[in-house]
Formats: sequence, structure tokens, C-alpha cells
Amino acid sequence: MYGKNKTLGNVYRVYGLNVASEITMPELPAAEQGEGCGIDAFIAYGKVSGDIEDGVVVDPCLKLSKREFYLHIKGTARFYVADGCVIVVQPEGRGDEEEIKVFLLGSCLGMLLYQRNIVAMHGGAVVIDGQGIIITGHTGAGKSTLISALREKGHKFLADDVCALTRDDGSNIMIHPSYPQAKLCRDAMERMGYDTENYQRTDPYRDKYIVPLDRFFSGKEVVLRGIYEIRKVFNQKTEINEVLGAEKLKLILRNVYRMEIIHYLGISGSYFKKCLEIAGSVPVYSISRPEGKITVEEQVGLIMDTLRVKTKLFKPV
Amino acid sequence: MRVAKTIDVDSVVSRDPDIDAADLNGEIVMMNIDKGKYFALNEVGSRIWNMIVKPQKVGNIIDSLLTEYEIDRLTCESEVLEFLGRMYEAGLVNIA
Repeated sequence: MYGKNKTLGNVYRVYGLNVASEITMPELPAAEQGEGCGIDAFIAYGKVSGDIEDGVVVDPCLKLSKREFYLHIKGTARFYVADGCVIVVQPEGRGDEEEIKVFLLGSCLGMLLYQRNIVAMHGGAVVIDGQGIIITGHTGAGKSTLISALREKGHKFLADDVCALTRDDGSNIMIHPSYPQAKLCRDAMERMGYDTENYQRTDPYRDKYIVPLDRFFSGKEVVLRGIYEIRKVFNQKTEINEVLGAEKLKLILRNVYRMEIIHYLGISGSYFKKCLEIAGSVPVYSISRPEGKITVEEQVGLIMDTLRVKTKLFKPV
Repeated sequence: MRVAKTIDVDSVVSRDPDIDAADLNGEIVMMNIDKGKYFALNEVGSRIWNMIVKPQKVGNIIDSLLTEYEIDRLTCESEVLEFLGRMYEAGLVNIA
């Protein structure tokens, strides 16, 4: 292990990258020696000017170009991400380290992946009998509850919020592990019997908590076998339908992590090609669940059925 | 800039080699990188895309479709020409 390195500080393994960081983040798994070759990205404290060359100024606190990203969270820090390999943090005000980490691990790593041209989907990843699946959907659609339910059933998870995807040497799409932590809102926590008093909030603005889940985590990349988008509907039944044709691509694109930021730049041809590859090699499903009803057990059952049918008809390659 | 070309049954059409396309359950989806737009072809459009993997004469495409679909030659011809014209304008096919 070289989790602690004299010259580089801490070296972590996240989204398939070795990240050397001046900021200590015990929530991230330490990189193992020999994993990948060298350091892929650096995180350091420094001065952030907020100047972006030929960029889009969304507002004074959010600027970006294809190779640069600037984010200013007043009272916390200024962040600068460049060339898919550097993140600079300039704390300000209270500069609370826990709050800084929320943006560092969220938007900053998300934009770093985008700059590296790695497709990242917004959602959680779970391993079921060796098959990786992604649960995606809008905030509040029920992702966390469903992922938690799968965890409680003994299926390990790779990611709670962001799934970094790459293609292996063949035609498999691989999901790369995030870190052993989940962000859960108060009602989900109460339903699962966690006492919110014992957990730290993600930020002062939302009733969301950081829950360490080391023993439920799998730090090994896995082949993606299905994408499931969950949404609330005014219906009585919980249903699952396979999404076909161009709709698959639309579903993937609308669930790309931080698409609300990326869309200011438009999607490059090579990024689009990767999304197309994912759509071409992985089945995609839409789960609709009735608003205001707890049907998570049914949802789990429907997902299991799709995985069972597949293993019966097709031998894994 | 592309110079507008007219397409007729004697034109030879081929896929633009720079276009990435994927077959999603029978629907061909592709993107023109310069324009940043993506396109999804319906069943017949996808069939034509599969035919022009090698350069094809428009007349040959029409002949093949006539054997595969119940359609009269006149309608088929005008629809194929219109479709290929739009594909050409979108930069997805080349015409010789």
C-alpha cells in the first residue's frame, strides 16, 4: 500500500483513477501499489483566480470550457479543475473541510471525469451475482431507497451517486468503484433505522446525511449488465419496461452526471460515441413506481427478473 | 463547405466514413460531430443505412426496397431521394 506517500501526500483510488491529494479524505479507499501506472490526478491547495480561457460564464461563480472548470461556493472555497488531472482548492470564510469535500468529491471529480472524456452516470451501482447494474433517475425518484434495499439484501455496492464507465479491451462496459459512502435523506435514513443524530450532514442546505458503509462496499470494477432508470408516476402499479432504440441513448444522456453543467459546452463527438457504445451493449430499463407508495420490494423483484431471464437465454461471454 | 448536389437514381451514395453509428434494437442512431446533432433512423432508413455500407447506386437501393416493402416505384423513389437528400445535408452520407 502506498496510501500515504511522503512526496505526494495521500494517494486514493476512485473512479478507476489514482488521485494524489493534499487534502486528507479518509472516506476514499487508498490506492494499492501497482494499481494503474502512477498518478492520474492531483488535488492541492492553492490560489484560484477564476479566469477561464475561452470559456462559458454561466454566472460569476460557475465558468467552464472544454478543459477548465471554475466553481465558487461563497464562504467555503473556490475550486479549479483543469485538463482532467488537476484540482486546486482555495478555501475561504469558514472553509469547512467537510463541506469542501462534498464539492470536491461531487462536482469537481465529476468535471474531472468529463475533462478526461470518461462517461459518468448519475446514480448508484450494485453488484448482483457478479453482474453490475446502475440505478439512475431524477433526484427524489427513489434511487437511494432502492440501492439501500439491494444493499440490505447483501448485494455490494460500487457507487452511490456517480458511476464512471469505460470500455474494456473487448465490448464490455466496466463500472469503476466510487467510495464506501452513501448520501441519504432523512426519511430514507429513518426508514432504514439510522439515527440522523449520529451522522454528519452533506451541507447546511439539505436534510441529507453522509453514511459510511465500508462493509457493504465492493472496490472492484465490474461489467455493466443493465441500466435502470426509476421514476415516479401517477399510477397504481410498479412496472418495468425495456427501453429500446434511440430512447436508450436519450435515457443515458439525460442521466449523465452534471449534464446540467456539461450541456453549456455541448457534447463532443468522442463523448457521444462512448454513450452510443454503452447504449449499444447494455440493456436499459425504465422502472415506474407509484407516487407516495413504498414498493421497493417489488422494484427489487422486477430487477431480479430481468437479470434472471438474461442469464437463462444468453450465456455470459 | 459542401456544395449542394442534386441526387437522382444514377447517383452513388455512401456513408460518410467519419460518422459513428450504432444499431440500437434495429434503429440506427448516429451523430454529426461538427453539428453536434444526433439522428435516429426508422426501420426503412436503417435498412438503407445498412445497404450503403459500400457505395450504392440510388437505383439499386430503390430496387431492393421494392422487393422488401409493399410500395409503388414512384412513391418509393421520391421518398428515398428525399431521405438521402436530408442525410446528405446533415453530412451523414456522401454522393458521387
